[in-house]
Amino acid sequence: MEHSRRKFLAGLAATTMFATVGVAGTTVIQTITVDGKRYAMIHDETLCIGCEACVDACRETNNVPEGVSRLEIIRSEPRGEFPDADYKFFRKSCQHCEDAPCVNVCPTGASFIDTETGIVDVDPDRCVGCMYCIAACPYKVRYIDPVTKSADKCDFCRKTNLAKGQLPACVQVCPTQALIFGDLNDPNSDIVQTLQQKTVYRYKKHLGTKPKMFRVPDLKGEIEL
Amino acid sequence: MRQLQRTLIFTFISLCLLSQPGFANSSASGAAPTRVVVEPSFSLQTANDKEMEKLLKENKRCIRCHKVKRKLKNIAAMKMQGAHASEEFYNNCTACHGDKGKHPKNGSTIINFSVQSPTPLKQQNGQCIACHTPAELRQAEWTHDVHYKKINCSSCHQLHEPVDPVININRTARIKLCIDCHSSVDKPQGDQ
Amino acid sequence: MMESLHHALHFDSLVWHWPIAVYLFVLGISSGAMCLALVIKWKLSAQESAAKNPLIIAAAILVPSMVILGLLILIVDLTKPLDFWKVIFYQFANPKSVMGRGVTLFLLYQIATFAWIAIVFREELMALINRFMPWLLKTPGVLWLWNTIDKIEKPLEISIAILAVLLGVYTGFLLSALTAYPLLNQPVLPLLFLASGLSSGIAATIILAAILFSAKADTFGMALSHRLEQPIAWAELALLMILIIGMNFGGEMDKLAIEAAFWGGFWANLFWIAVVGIGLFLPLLMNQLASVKLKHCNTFILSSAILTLIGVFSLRMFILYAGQMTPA
Repeated sequence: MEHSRRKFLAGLAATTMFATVGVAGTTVIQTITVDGKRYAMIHDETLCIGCEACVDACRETNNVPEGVSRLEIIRSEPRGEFPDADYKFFRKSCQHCEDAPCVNVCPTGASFIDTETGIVDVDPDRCVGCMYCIAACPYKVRYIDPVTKSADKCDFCRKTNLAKGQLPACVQVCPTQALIFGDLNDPNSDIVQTLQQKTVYRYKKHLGTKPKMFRVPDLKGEIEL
Repeated sequence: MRQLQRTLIFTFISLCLLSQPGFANSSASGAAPTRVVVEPSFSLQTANDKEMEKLLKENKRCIRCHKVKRKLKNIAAMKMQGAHASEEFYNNCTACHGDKGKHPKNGSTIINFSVQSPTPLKQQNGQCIACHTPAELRQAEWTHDVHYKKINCSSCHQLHEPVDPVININRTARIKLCIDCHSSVDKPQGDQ
Repeated sequence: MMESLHHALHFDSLVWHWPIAVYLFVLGISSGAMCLALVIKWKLSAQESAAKNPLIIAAAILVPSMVILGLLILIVDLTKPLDFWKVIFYQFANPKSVMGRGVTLFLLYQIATFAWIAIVFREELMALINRFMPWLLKTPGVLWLWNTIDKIEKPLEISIAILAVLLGVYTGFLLSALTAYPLLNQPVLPLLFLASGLSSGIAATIILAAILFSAKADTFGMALSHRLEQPIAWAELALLMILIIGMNFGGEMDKLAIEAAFWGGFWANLFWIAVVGIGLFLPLLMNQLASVKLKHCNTFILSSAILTLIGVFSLRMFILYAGQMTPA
């Protein structure tokens, strides 16, 4: 996998990350300041079994049309030989960056960071569909919704489950509890507790996007230069 | 508990499939389910006519008892209709189950495919990969790679049925299958 | 062959398609034509009228029409073309957006260039208005406005020069703001696009002036245009070399991007053959080898300009597509 080495390096550098975690009131862009919650997610790749229950739950909960997807689980090439082969799983979805390139390039302000939750979201009414955000996203998680013709992507179920006081659909449905969701500003939250115990990495962190999707690396059998 | 779960799931799926019109009375009405052409690998079982003769005799012995319900031990009547059945080899029981040997007396060497079977997991699954190569299995379904050493093939596959019920299950049923076995008792993690 | 072309034009990481390349191309022409027109006008002697100079007339047509064409392409390329007004209405919602600043720039540039045209072609426009809509001149304020902008001709021209250069670099910044693609996220890109925009602007102006307004080699400004063309072409070559060499000193993804873009494959071929070969080397070579007499021939002038335009458009296509081939 192309990002496996980066994952490894990022895993090593994971400890440095704590410096940026839990600091309230970080300026996100210009005048936007996250002063409420700061939602983030952990994808534990050592627990993920690649069943894609999350993918279907997301589609159903958020009414995502066929042909596009807010969430994908990317399966690696097999590692090792039968009958000892296994796979790595990578969650491809919005990282809810604190310095989000999609938000920075948007000409109309349709892409924004919600000040109460730190969630990166899109205002479909404001979006004109220039696709600058889709080009700008280093994680390639944005798409044009074929129905609304607006850019769209994962919003941590901000307008659906979260609004009803529930966890995001993917977290709810995950059979192995490979997903942990919570507020980085709350030191007692499951996510902060887990981040203090497990080694994590963040994808393409070197681009300075400050992604809020943490991943527990599944590095077994990693011999790749 | 898990094993029971699995058995239940597959019984459920097979029941669903069998209850579809066309399946239930297919053999009765003569509209036999499509017979799969004899796999060339089946012929590897015999090298000459004498072996063939012995093989057919073995198979006839299986059918003789198992075509009806064994009331004493409560074993249902067997009917081999799946892709592995072969008229040429008279139902082909021995290809997978092995020769009758001392069966049903003590010291039987017969291979029994189930979770409760006295046959070790490795031997059960070994029967399958004698023909099905790892590459084929991987291509058909990547999960073969990660389950082969952990559960027996018969946890998912039923070969006596006209069509193996796990073949071509839809996406939702497939995900449900994953969840049913892999669910841990913990609640989802995270806080609002 | 068809399959490799299909792969070159359709790949997973491709977000912006060819209309964006056309958009960047026509904006470059507008920016370059404006710069050329200003330089010629400033060099004109007091006796000569700028309104009679074929190159300035051609530029005055190209400058606004290319911006309008570019904006039309951009609007049609939106997934919601009818909502285009929101880009203007909400342009200051995100002060950081390069595209938002581009919209601001377009508005200022379009107003300023129309004002400049009104000054330069005052007599011609006055005659036209008198003939077709004389009521306009009687409308209060119109003449006053016209006279006012006449008085600020020089500061206006300097502002337009600045805006035109900004427009040229904007086309580069639009792409170089994309951190997601190493080949696009390069600081040299705005300069490269400014330079190639100038070449294409000069070439397009020459073609239009020669075809529609019978500009000849001895027309004032023609020699000047040629004198400008060559150093710009050399600058483009230098900037391209800096881009390739500089990225080879970069990180892993920079190197991968360079390899994918410049060595092997459809876009590499387009780059070396169309951008460098046809667009830069051939015109430079032709100018070195041709005799003075041949250089004064209109066919020679036109063909050199057409080659430059092919090269510049190929560069826009190349950067856009090859740039999107390798994500960070």
